[in-house]
Amino acid sequence: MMKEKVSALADGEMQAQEVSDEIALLLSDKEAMQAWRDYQLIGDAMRGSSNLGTAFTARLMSAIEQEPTVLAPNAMPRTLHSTSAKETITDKTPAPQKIQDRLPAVWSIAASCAAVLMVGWVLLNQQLQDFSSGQSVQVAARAVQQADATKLVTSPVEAPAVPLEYLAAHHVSAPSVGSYYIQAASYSE
Amino acid sequence: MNFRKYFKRTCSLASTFLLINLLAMRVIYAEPTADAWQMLQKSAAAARLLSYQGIFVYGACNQTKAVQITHLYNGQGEYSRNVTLDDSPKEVFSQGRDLVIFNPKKEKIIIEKRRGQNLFPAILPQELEPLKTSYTLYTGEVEQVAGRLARVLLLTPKDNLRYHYKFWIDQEYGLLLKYSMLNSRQEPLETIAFNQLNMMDSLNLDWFKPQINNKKYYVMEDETPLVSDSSISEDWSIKELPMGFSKINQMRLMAHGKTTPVTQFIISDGMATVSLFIEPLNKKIKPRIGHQVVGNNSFYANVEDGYQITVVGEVPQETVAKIANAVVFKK
Repeated sequence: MMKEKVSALADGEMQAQEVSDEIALLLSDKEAMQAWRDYQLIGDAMRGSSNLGTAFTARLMSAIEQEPTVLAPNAMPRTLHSTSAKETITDKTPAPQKIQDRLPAVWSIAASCAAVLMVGWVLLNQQLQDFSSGQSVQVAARAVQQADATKLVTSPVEAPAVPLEYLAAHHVSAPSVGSYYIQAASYSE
Repeated sequence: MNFRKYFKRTCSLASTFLLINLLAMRVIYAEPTADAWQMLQKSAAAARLLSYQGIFVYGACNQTKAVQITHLYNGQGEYSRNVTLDDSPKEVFSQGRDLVIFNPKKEKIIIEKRRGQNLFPAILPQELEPLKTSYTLYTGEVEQVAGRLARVLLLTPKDNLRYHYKFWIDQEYGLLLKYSMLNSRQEPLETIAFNQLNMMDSLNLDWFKPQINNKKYYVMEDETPLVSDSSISEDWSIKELPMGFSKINQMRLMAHGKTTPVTQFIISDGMATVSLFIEPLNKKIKPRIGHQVVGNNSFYANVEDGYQITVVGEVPQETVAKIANAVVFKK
């Protein structure tokens, strides 16, 4: 309950009197104080006023474990906070305490051409069918027209013989330009 | 009859003249110049030091993605936000070399952390000198991209161990407007091009935050601690790599589903990057031997002296095989 208030506070959704009451309560509650710092840190980091370094990730992990809706504090119905959301988190591997700064050590599947081939051709204009903004659709549609104009070499549509984890590890350690934009098909959760 | 002869001779002369002209143009077109390298250097800096927003299209492997980019340099730091324009938008935030990716996967948004600085249009290395070992840079013509005039530059490999790169550089701002990776037949394997581009004046960072999807859970990607490893194996060593390629990093990591650590080498020639994986074979590892090219990625797998060697990278097939063969086992 306190964390829900913390999130509302962090989002500036409380009235002035409520805010002062909650801050008074916060100062007397160690756990809530930590949650408040976590919210502030995430907000600051995403606004660019602090480095997204080791401390950020460790704290974000910690914050997420405590409160899965931390990045959308008021997004989910309150009843979900302590049930399904937490179950989702608990099956994850515990947060690493130390994260190397030089390169992230991740073997989950990064986006890759090979993986994309497994799901076949996904053209942008199909993806845009449900796109809500008319203007954006128009803009993106023009983008598609241009993309169509660039004749790309077609590759054989088959799965690579080499397991995708090698390609994923390659993209994690040395991301190619395309790996940022295209989705992997065989991400294991 | 005389007229016909005269006409034929004139045509012949004209065509010879045209041919000479074309050859001369070809020479001008193909002449490598120091100016071209300067232009490329300027472009590498422009992508990082200018503030701009626009939409570009990525195309490779029969897939296209439109991406909305906002990039800001405020004098101290570099910030960017890339959002794919589809019904499941992926958001990539960068602050300097740090990247945070909000990647939708079914009912979740996976938050991934990366290090790197090669988001389009900042795909060029900041240090271009090493490229001169393996590539020649040619100046091309002026073409239109996203309604702007762009000078074409061709980064052509000196051998057949790497792909060709084509850059379209904005004539006014020096920004990279379009890029293509081409094979030896000059067929594009990967192309990224701006479709819309505007310079930004504002230093406002309000846009530097993720779009929250109320219906999804936000979770951090599983991470495995990565150990920087400079140890030397008693069983094997890496001998001569192909010309221009050098080792830029070495790590030990636990691969997904594996029980023994894998040694990974990152090898690059400045533009292309290749990963070399070496791991001891055991009963749980199914040995793999083979090679394959998928899009702009080449794979090569081999087994030698009880070790699995796997090479993956954005280079031609011959190169991954050569890099795998650079691993020498001590008898």
